[in-house]
Amino acid sequence: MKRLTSRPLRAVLDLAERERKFLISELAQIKGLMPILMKPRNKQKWSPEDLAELRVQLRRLSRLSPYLVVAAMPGGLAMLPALAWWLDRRRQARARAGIPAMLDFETAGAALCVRVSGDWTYGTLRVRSRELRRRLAEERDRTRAAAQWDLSGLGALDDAGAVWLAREMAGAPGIEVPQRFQPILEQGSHGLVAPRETRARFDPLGAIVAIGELGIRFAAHLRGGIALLGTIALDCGNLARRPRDFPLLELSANVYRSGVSALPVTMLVGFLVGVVLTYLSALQLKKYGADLLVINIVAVGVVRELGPMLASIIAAGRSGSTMTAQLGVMRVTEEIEALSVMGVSVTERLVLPKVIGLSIAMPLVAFCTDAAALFGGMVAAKVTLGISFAAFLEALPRVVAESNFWIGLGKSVVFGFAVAFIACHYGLRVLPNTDSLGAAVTQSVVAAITSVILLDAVFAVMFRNIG
Amino acid sequence: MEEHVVEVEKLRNVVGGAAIHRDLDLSVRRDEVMTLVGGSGSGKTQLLRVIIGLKHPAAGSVKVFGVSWQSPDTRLVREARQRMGMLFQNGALYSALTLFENIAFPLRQRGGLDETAIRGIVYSKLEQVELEPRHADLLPASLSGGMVKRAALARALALSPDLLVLDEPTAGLDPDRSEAFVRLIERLRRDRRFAVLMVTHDLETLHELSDRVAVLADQHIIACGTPDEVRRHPHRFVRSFFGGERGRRAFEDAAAA
Ligand SMILES: Nc1ncnc2c1ncn2[C@@H]1O[C@H](COP(=O)(O)OP(=O)(O)OP(=O)(O)O)[C@@H](O)[C@H]1O
Ligand SMILES: [Mg+2]
Repeated sequence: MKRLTSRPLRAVLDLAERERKFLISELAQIKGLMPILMKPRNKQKWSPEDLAELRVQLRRLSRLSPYLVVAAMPGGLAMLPALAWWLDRRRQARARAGIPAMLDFETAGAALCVRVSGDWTYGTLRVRSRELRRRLAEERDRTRAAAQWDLSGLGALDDAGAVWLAREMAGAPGIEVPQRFQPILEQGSHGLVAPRETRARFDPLGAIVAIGELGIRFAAHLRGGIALLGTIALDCGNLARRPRDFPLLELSANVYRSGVSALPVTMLVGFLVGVVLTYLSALQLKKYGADLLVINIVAVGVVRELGPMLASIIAAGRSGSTMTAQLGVMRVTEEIEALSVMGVSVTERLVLPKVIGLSIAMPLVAFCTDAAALFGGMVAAKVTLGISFAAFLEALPRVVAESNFWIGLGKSVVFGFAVAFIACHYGLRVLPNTDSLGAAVTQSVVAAITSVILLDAVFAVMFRNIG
Repeated sequence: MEEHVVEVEKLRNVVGGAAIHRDLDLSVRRDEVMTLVGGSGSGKTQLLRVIIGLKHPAAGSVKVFGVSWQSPDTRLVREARQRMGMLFQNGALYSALTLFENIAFPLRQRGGLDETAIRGIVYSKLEQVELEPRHADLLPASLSGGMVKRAALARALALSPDLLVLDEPTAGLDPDRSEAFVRLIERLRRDRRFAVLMVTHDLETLHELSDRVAVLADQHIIACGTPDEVRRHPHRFVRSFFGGERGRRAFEDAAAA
């Protein structure tokens, strides 16, 4: 028990002892500082050497200063072990980075001699690169002479160091490079002369070019879409001749995934929209005493428009994005190529089940959404207008023509087809990189929702005389 | 600096419900080339993933630069990570970045150097791995398999790591390029000391570079030592790996040279 408690304690004390020794050794060096500091008082000027020495010593002092601060505080001595631990960690981190990269400058007559020492690696340069460059520039400004370089003190060198030195030493005469560093320095200077990429310049016609490119891209999409549609039609024809090859398993998986598992969220949204729609209409209708008309508005709106629309928009976000991402990843990982090499038709195996699956699932989902929205309407009508469930249900078949229901379902078949088709189209156009994949998913969802709304408008015009 | 850059002790590693490493010990000294060999599917890549901290072991300790990946001191962990370069078996280049940006990425990420210096470093790395500057602006998808491998090597080297972890660096390279890879690692290690832990099936590379070889079989390291010590081990895998026609040739050629 005693040993257990004393071991960590001893470790801390050892550390404190080590720090004490370190402190003493540092202070011994600082003693040399006093005569220099005294010089101005003795009416002497500081020479450049003195200044350099001062700078070094001050840096040392600042490294010690945490001690000085702590020791000055009351009870500060008790914190010393913790501080010692912290300093020790800091020093370890320094030791790991290697011996710092150093430049020493010497002026012999008019010439500037730069002495390079320490480890010139990425680790040491990362922290000192800027400072070293500044000091070198200062010295150069001061002497205005070509520098002579002395690399004999160089400890270690990697590409970062080589590039750094090669850049600064460019054109300097008679540099003696230690044998073992010659290849890497040479490579560093090669790296610097590598071709520079040309900056894109401002082009006044850029906007026109961009519009043109946009048009061309749109045309390419259109063409790709038509081609895909054609392939799907051909595949359908082929499968009709050999129905046993029909990918039933994939089809049912798709119906389940984009149909059944979409029900909770779609029905919840449908219910809430039903409530809100009824509530808002009820507020207005109450003013005119036309309470019962609320059933007409809600029922026709939901069954003919809102149900299919809501279901398809949610499907575009849910299933459409999944389809695009799935095909896109298969493109990135070359699975699609692997499929076609095996002689499997990509559209038949991957696209067709998705498109048919969603076309089947969509009307079913829309039907459930209709039901949920009507239920929401019933609840809201009862609360706001006091229309009982029975009255609502009884009035329903009278106020909505059956054709509205069929139009709604028919539309949702088309919407389902459109969403899945657009998703697959974008998925197959993904380029093998992650950026393109992300962009394709976004575009697919946006395009699917837009086209659902456009199609809805078309249908509204087409069926304006029915129901 | 630490004596050992990698220390794995009593490692137990479970992948997909099944233990693939049991009681595994491995250490890499700070300036040696350690080669890990083992049959296909013996768990070499999985072991590297544990060592570089992508996966937590089920039991045992893994320390890199004396730091455990589970250490609560996040600064130490981050520093240890930054001292490591990794070449993945399939390259794992960022598919949305060009070749140049891929190699410059770690340099820009860590900062400290100006853009001209970064360009210089990237182009000199490209030269080292024998990729041409004109390929610098291509996306990884338009590079050949071998080029991807070499680009990934350049990226792993970008920060001048103290520990370079390589998963099959020469697989998919032509013999000349494998040879160049060996020369490159040799030269880099002359300019600056660092440790290499690599997986390879290439006997010539193994023979020319390795200071020590560890053999992974039966879920642990069955033998570890200099190539000459290890190839006398009686285990079935070692016998077929080093004892086959190709194994003998690699070692005899070297002896003759
Ligand atoms: N995500 C995973 N889930 C389940 N098992 C896995 C997983 N990844 C790998 N494995 C199994 O772990 C074992 C080791 O795989 P690992 O990739 O480490 O092999 P390897 O030694 O690198 O082989 P190779 O030389 O072919 O690259 C294999 O049997 C593999 O089936
Ligand atoms: Mg592997």
